[in-house]
Amino acid sequence: MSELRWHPILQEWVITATHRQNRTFLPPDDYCPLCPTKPDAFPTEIPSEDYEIVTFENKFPSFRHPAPEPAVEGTELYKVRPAEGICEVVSYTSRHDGTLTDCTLDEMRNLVEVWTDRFQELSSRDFIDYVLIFENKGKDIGVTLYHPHGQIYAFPFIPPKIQTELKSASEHKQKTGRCLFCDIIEEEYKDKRRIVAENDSFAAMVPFFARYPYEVYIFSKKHHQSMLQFDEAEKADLANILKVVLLKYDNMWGISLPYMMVMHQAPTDGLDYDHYHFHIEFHPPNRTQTKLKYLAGCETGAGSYINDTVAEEKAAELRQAEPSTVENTFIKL
Amino acid sequence: MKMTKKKIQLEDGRYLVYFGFPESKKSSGSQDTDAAKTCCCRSKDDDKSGCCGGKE
Repeated sequence: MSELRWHPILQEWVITATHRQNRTFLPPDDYCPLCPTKPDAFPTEIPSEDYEIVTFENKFPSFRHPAPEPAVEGTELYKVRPAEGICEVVSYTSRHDGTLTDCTLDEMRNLVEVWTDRFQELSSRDFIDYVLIFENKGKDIGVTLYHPHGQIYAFPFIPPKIQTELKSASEHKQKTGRCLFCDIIEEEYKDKRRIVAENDSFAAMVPFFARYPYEVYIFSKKHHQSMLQFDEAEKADLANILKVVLLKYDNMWGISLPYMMVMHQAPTDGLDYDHYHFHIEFHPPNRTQTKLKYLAGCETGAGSYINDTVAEEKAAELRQAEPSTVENTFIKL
Repeated sequence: MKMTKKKIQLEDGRYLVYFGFPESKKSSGSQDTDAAKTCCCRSKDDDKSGCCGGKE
C-alpha cells in the first residue's frame, strides 16, 4: 500500500509506504545488494561484475511511477492522492567497505556529475516538483545497507522544510531586496568564528542557528539555485569541500561519524525561484563521541530544537580536525 | 568532463543506469600514484604520498 495522506493540522503530505517494512535490513556482506554481481555468486541488484557509479530505481520506494491508486478513499478533510514520484538509489562505488569519505577526489568529482545528471533528468518530468538528493550514513541514523550509497527522492510536491525556506527567502527578498542566504554567508564571514572551511566556490560553516552540535552548511558562494548552474571549476570545488568536511567529521574523534547529508536546491515545478540559494546541510546525530542527540519531546513534539552546545565552539573543533584549516585559508587536497 | 551513461531495464521492470568516467583513475581503495587527484588520506599520519601536507 502506497499513497499520500493529507495531515490537515500541519498541512503537509504524509507518505505511507507499507511495503518498505519488508525492505532488506543490514544483510551480511556476502549478500549486499549494492555490490557487483560476481560469477556464480549471489545475484545482487546490479547485474554487472564491476561498475564506477550506478543509480537505479529503489526496490522499496516511497514514491512510484506510475503510482497505484490509493487503497483508501479520501474525504474533504482527509485527502489522499497517489504517491506519484521516483526514488533512486545511488551507489557511490563498487567497493563494499568504506564510506563516501574514502572515495577519492576524482570519484567525488564524478559523483557530482552524476548528481547533476540525475537532478536534470528527474526534474524534467512534469509530475516532479522537487528533487532531493541525500545520504543517510551510519547505523545510528538507521541505514539498512552498509555499502556506501545515497538516495534521490523526486517528489510530486515541495516538501515542508523547503517550503518554509522558500517563504523565509521570499519575505527577506521583499523586505531587503537581497538573498537571505547570501546575507547569511556575509554575516558568517563578518564574524568568522563559525567558518569551518572554504574554497573559491563554497563556504562550510556551523551556522549561528545550528540545531545539531556538529551541523554544517555548505553554501555556494555564487547565488546559484541548483547544481545545473555550476561550471567545471565549481563542480571540482564542491567535490573538494565535501571531502574536507567529511574528513574533518571522521578525524575529529577517529570514528566514522554518522550523518544525514541533504542537498537543498530550487523546486522543479517550473516556477521562478531566483530568491533561493543552493546549499548542502549535514546533520550528524552525535553531541559527543559516544552520546547522541535525540529528537525527543521538545523537538518532535513541539518542533523546537534544543542545542546543548554553541556553534562557535563546535566550529573551532571542526576547524582543528584534519585537514586542519584556519579562517579564510583555502584548503587544498 | 567525459561521462558515459548506459541505461538498462532490470527483470522486474525497474531501470538502472551505469555511469562511466573514461578519464578518471579508479582507486583501489589504497593510495594511488596521482596523489593530488586520488587522495584518500584521512590524516597527516595516514599521508603516504605527501598529498595532504603530512610529508614535506
